[in-house]
Amino acid sequence: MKIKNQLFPKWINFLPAIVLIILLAVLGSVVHIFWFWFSPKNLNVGYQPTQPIPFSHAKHVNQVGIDCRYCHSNVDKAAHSNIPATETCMNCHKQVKTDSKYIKKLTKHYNENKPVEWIKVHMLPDYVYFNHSAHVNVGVSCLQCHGKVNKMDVVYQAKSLSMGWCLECHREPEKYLWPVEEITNLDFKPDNQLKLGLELKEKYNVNPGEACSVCHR
Amino acid sequence: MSPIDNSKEFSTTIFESPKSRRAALKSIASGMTIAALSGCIKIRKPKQKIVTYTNEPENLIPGEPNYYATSHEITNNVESLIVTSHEGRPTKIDGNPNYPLNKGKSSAHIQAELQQLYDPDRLKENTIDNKKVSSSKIKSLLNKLNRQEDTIIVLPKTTSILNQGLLSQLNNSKTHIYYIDPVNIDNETNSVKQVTGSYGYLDFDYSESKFILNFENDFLSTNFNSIKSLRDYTEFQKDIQFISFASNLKVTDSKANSIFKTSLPEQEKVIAYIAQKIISKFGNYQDKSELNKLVFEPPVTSKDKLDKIVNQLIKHRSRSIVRIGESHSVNIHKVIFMLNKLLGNINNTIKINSTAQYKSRFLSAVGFEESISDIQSKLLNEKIRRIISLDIDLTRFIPNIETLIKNTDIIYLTNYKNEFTKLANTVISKTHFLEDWGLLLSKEGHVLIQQPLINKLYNDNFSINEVLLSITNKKTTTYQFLKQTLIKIKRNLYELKRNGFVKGKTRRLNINQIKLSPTKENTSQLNLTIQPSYQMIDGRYSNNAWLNETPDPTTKLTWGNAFIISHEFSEKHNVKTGNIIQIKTDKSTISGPVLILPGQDNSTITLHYGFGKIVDGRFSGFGINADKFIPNKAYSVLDIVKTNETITLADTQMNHGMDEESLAASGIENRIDKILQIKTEDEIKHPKKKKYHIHSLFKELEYKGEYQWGMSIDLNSCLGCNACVVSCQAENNIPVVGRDQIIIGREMSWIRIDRYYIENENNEATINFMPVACVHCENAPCEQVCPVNATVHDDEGLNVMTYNRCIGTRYCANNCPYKVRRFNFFDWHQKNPQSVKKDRIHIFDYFREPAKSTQMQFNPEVTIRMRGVMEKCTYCLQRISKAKIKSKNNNDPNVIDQLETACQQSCPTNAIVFGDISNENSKISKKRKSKRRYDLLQTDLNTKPRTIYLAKVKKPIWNSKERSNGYH
Repeated sequence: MKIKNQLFPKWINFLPAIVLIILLAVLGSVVHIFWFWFSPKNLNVGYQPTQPIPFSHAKHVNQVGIDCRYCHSNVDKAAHSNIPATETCMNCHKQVKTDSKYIKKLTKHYNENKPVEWIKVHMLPDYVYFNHSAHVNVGVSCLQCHGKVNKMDVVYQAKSLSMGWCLECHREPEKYLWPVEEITNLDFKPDNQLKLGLELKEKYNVNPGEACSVCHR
Repeated sequence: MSPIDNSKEFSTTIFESPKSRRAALKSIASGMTIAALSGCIKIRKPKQKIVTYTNEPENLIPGEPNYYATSHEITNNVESLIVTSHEGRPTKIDGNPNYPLNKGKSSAHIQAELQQLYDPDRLKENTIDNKKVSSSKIKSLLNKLNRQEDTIIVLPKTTSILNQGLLSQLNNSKTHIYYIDPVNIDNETNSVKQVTGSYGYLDFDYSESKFILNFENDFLSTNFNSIKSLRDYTEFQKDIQFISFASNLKVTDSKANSIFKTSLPEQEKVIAYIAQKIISKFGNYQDKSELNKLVFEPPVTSKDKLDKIVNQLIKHRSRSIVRIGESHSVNIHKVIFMLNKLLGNINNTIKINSTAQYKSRFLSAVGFEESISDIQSKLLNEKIRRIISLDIDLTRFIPNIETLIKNTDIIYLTNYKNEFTKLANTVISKTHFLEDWGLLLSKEGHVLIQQPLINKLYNDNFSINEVLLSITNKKTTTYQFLKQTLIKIKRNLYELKRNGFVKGKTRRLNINQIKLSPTKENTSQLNLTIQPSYQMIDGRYSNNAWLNETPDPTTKLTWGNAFIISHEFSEKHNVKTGNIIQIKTDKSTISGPVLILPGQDNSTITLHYGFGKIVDGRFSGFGINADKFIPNKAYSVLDIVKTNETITLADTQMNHGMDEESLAASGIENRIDKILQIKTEDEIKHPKKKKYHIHSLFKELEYKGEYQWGMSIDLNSCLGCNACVVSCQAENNIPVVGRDQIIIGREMSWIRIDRYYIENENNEATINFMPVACVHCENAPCEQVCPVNATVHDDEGLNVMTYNRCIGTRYCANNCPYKVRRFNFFDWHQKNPQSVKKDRIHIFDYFREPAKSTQMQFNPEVTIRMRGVMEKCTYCLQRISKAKIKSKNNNDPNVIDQLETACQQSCPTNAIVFGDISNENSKISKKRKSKRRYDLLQTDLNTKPRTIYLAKVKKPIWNSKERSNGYH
């Protein structure tokens, strides 16, 4: 029997289910937005700005065979790993490829004493005080944080550089330690990382600590 | 030019507390809109640039500070300094560890010079007749000055070899040079000149001293005394008995074993009485006849005690020191010389050394008061064509000067706009001492180099040297002139640059016959005494935010001063702290608020000099301006009128009380014995041991780190000088909050120096200082109440504060028994009246930021805290981290031993010691074994603080029971 003047149509019966589904979808997307979309893995990894002069690490490291520390010379001395002065580039490029468009631009910068304004790729928040020398001198390779820079034509951010990611290594450094001599050899492959890591941890007296005061001031 | 209105400046920020409910809703709504908008766009941090050098400077590693030697003169002292420079920005000034006078220590003034350098209110351009002109125009104007016209040159007393060399070339009959320093020691200098025949200074040897009798001299403050004398006193204080006669309690009186509350006239009577006794015993006929020229009534102070003092002086002949303050006349100074001579102290405990001089004309120049009256009469009677003022605001010292200088050309070199810039035809902007070369000569004979640390912040500025070089028509730069001078005086530039100084020698002076002039007693019943301020000195730091906000050690007032009066006086005149009174003296009338303090003499009103509107800057203008008076002088008060007005003084003493019921100030009395322990030597040797049954309900943390940090503060050495407070402020980027916020207890300084008045066994009020910063409890009460784990312990015993986690509940500050946590109620850097509007480059950008020049001053190693987070002492975590990394990289454990916190580094008396307590041989471990050690409130609360205190030592000297071997 059909009841006249039904107040609500029949599909209303499904309303609770629909509402539930929509709510779940909203909740799911909120979680997704915050968990995935806002996470450094999404926001930071793969950041690849265009540099004023397209410097190719791959070319300089693989083809020319320059060590990382030729240019980033203070990496084992100071907290900051320096971007080299224009002078350092000019050591070679006074003779090499002087007719290239970009080397001409570089030479102009050098002659006019105007700094090249490189775009920063790896950014940490201001309240994080990362010290390169403390890591490099105990066998943390460039690779662990910067990825295979020797394969990059244009440098991008390879790791998330989030606090959780830092702690992965601070908790178990043996998984990442290499001999100090090999840290700039980004193609180095240890046979048994864990065994090597434990040995090196002992040798270099590595106990990184997880307290806030280690990185934040 | 109107004085800048502070309140207007504040109200332009949206962080000003809303005026109405509507305004509050508005700001909430706009805040939420911004928050909502920010979710709609892809959030990427703004692009940051790395700007590299073209040619890398030598010895510079980006991110690592460099250290350069330079020097500076403050009042009477020339200090060699080491300045920390981050990529060319000076960020911290400290003493030079190799310099024999400061040994790496500094004072609040030295620390605060940074603020002077980066002050955005500094004058940036030069003007002629209010029109902006280039620096080359000024140079050609100075070049063309006719030196045959009558000229007055005024400048502060300077020991600069370059300045003096140039000034001596200007010397001709038409040029009159005056040295204007309102805060000075002219009386001491003149008396030395009169008794020895040449210019000298007094050098006190405390190592042999047993007894010090002091009249009104503030010889343990950093205002006029070298850091060396403070260090020496605290080092040898163990065997010293110190009796002080004081009209009000000064920093020095914190070390006195007995304090006589006496007015200046009464002190003169006491001096005459003691001199009579000593001279009748040791003096010859001539001395006696000289002394008869003093016509004084007998003192009202207990004769019994005075006789005991005389006996002590006689007992400790050649081992005692009698000192006298600047407030007393030259004649009384000479009486004291006579006393010291008869007691055999001269050349034993007191050495008179000749002042080193290189063409130092200011030595033979007349004193401050004569200079002023000379200038006045010259302006009045002679035709003075030109006044060249090198950083002296003459309107402060010569009333109605504008009527005297109508036809005079005025050239004025200054750091700030002020009253005198309005009168000057040519205004030249002045550099800071860190911006130009210089060469100084300390009175001890050391030659010090002044190296610039930074290019001129404002290109048009001139240094005093540059102005003088232009006037003397020299076409050289200061640096070239410096090199020429060094060749002349045979000093090596590179040695000076490397060490900062070259040691010198002085000659010993001897006392000739002392002749007194007839003196009658001062019969005034009530005196207004003007004393130099501990922060402003003579007003030169008037626009210095750090020093304005540093509490005065004795009054604990920030942002201003007050008439200090005694309880008895307040009852007699029915005034209370904060009431504004008007004081009519024989010189001028002055009005301002009063402050009642214990230990103040009943017939003396004390006022600190250097406050009030002195320059046209956004921080200058707080407090009572005492420019009508001369510091270190007493004026007899004719009348006092109480007005109906009352203001609240920005007093910090009660802001963070460690009392049990912290709302009620009375609670401190029950606890003071535990908070600030003062013990006699017997009590220290034979401590009463009590057992305390306390243990924690919580599971106590274990500390397993490689190092365990701890600090000790020696209350017996602390002189309350505030060097640590300002040093901490510079090191840790601590903001200033302003007067209104101080009044509601929101100061941010991580170290506070508590001042306690404690009555001793002779019913005298004593003044005691106690620096308190976070004590890093092992069982920290703050950690137990934080809902978000923002404050936790690390494994090295540091109580660390995670700013990012902090949500600002302020539970931790409430639960902290030491009251050392500071909350950022606002973003203070934005609220600062010197802040500027920020260029928006990102949606999350704030609306204001510190002025561009102020930004250069921040220490890049320390996070700038934002609004809504708690902060506190970190034991200079940035220095600890740096030392740990350096020690590990270089495999050098000495780095840890040399680690110093900022407060420790600047403390003139080494009262603060910091280090690794797990290392048995460290300095801190030795301090922790001291018998004077006590752990603040440990017996009540079982907090196990890592900062320990060493009890102050008292020596009851009138009570025969306490010491069997003396005082009869």
